[in-house]
Amino acid sequence: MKILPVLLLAASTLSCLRAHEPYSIETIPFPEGVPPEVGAIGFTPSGDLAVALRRSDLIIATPQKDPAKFEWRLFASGLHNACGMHIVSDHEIIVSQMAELTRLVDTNKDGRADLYESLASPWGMSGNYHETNHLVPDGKGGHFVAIGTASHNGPVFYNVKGDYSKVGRRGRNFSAATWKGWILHIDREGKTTPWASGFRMHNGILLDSKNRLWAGDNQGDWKAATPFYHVERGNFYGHVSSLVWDPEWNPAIDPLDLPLEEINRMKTPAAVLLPHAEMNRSASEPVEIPEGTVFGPYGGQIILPDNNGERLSRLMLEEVDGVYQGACTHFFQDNGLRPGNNRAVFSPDKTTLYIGQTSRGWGQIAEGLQRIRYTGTAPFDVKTMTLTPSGFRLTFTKKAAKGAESPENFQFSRHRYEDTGNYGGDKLDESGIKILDVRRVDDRTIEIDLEDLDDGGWVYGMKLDGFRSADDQPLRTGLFYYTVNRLKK
Amino acid sequence: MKPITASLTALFAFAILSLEGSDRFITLSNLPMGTKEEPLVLRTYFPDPGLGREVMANHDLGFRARKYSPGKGDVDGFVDPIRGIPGAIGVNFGSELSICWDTTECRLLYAWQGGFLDMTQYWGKPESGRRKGFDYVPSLVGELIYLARGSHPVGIFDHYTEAPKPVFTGYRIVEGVPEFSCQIGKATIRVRIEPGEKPLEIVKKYTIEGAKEFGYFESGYKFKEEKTGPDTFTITLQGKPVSSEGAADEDPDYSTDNPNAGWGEALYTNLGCFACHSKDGTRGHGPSFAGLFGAERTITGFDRPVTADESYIEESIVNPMAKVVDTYPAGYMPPYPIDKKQIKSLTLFLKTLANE
Repeated sequence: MKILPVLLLAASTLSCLRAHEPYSIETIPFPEGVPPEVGAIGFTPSGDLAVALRRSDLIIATPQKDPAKFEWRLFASGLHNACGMHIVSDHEIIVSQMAELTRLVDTNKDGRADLYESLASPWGMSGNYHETNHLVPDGKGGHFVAIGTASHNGPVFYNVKGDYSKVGRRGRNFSAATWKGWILHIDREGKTTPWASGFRMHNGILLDSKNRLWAGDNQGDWKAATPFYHVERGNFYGHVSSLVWDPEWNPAIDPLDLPLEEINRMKTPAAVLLPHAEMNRSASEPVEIPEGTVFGPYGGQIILPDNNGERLSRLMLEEVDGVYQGACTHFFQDNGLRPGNNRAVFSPDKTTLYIGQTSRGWGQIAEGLQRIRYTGTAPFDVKTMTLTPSGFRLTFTKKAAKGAESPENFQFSRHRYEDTGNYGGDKLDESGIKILDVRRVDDRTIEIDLEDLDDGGWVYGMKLDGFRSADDQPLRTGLFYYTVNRLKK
Repeated sequence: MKPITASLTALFAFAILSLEGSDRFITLSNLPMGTKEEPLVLRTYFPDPGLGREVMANHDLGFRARKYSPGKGDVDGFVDPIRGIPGAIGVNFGSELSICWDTTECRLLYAWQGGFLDMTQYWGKPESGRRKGFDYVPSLVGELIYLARGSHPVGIFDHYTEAPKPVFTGYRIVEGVPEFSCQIGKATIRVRIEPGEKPLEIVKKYTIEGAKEFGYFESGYKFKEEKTGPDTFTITLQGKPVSSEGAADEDPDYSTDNPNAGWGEALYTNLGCFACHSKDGTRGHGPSFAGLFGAERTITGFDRPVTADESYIEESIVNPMAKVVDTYPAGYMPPYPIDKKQIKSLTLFLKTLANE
């Protein structure tokens, strides 16, 4: 190891510790000249950090207290844009690269993979740059793999891997090659089962600690806002081009010609819709916050990074009438975080969140590796926002000051979206909602009754302002959106 | 062949950099190179220097698509596919040899000397990292010395019907060189490809297991075969500068949507027509295109000859079984569901080959 990491002093010592700041952030440099375009990150059982880069390499370093002192070594190379990674052992890593699911094994334990075994390659490749993928292990030796669609900003090739569909080729983002826009299940023997369809760029899937499968998607055609889905087998989530690969699909029907009402009837709505301008434009890898308070007061909730903005979203989910729904807010916004947030993983001791960034090939330059630590200073924040039969209940992370329940501290509105073949979508039918009552239930809990509460995918916006915690801390965030799929009785 | 060039200075500068350190990372340089001792393996999109359809037999065909506007739906104009190879693996041994081995066809597609790849199109300029333009396939640096032709060079003769499709199972790095592995039916084929001792030589070391009978044939290239063990043999392939014969070396001109003979000629290559239909009168699996247009054809099962006019050509493309020329096998050619403008272009191309 002769190439030493460059001491990027200005960047690596950047930490934004303001008064009461509950989190610190640091930047971790890569070896000189190595483009830090992070496709996937993960930890080995012995605690080393593995990073797959866009161009070829999978590099590993033992985390250091001083972010400038990571000594990167090469574990594998020659990979085509590996965007999904499952670390099996210190000597074995499974990646999803553009063409296939590949098992990398360091058989002679010299630190470098020497076996590149193709485990499965059920999806096609049209040649379009946008068809990246992501994976999560299923816990049984198999994987769920998310296969992104192609973009009209790039071509297809004459020679296509897998099958080509002329009908699937139409549209802004398209599914010209096999299984684009799907989540596949590939079991440990390599047998593929199509799991769910209707995705555009589900650049991040998660199997949580309760064995629920989640996927974000990127706002765009058929995705008016940024959705976060609870994924179940057989469901369709709205991006129509993927339907051409459904074995049951009538090939005489072009999905782009279906009436909107028909598409809306077929699709499963998002658990959470994140307004793209205010919250999150391009959802990437979701990560579950560790239980307890080791990473602050949000244990069990989900962080959803934004590949487009300098921000991470926090999701507060609940199950109502058998359907998942809930609220989103900012978890991290600016605070020294760069844009391009693509991959997220907690350190084995759960104290540190590592964020891998890239946007190469997509947007403006935004790349690298950063880590976020909890300082131990508990923030004053809304810990959970849940629906009640008449409005919402807010549970705070600590005692709210007297007078917090004053109605002028709260503002509610609602809007909805319509997914179409057009790129993105505006807020429709937006209106303010009258507050009927605000009452304090206990030190940390406030309930708000609203005049008008409706289900069917209305997104309720809430702004909080003008009050502090009992120990005089300001609110960490004041903007929330709750997606109501079902009402509480 | 189009000359493939790159800045030699840049190449030289990177060659020095890449020798530093045992961990050779891919850097911002868009001219990554390996050495003979430490070859560089890289999976990426690869350029297609004119591979025939018979080589790319296990790939599906991308087609010209109508332009799409999210607001209006289909609009005027077309978007054409581009030449490229989606799932191949490149190996560079320094300036002596580069190879492109494909994971779908499970074979060596082409080899070249002088450099490896210029990744600028795909990786972008170092300062921005954005892929360039609509067509972002990397370009070859150096001169082609081998371009695959014909069906797979390894024949497994255990199958009395058509051989099963090859399935790529991965590769192992053996003394720095990847040994590619694939499965054809019950047979496992492993191959290491390296530079030979003499100029333009390519050495392929094969291990074949699970096959009772197999053979090796390379069309268009001289090769030496040496048996090295019960399951192993070595092929020393004599490369040569690749001419444009049998391969279209210029990108087809799609500047106009109007059918034209140049487009037809490109389709002749890209759709693989040339694998069966010659341009010079040579008999192949199908009738030669030389002097075909306007000629009288004797059709199996027909009492009198048929003139090869526009409608005959169209019918023969979309429904080849309708009229099979006498002495040629029926059912050999699959239907090609191409659009009217493509058919018209092919017809215009055939007209250029008609007898005066």
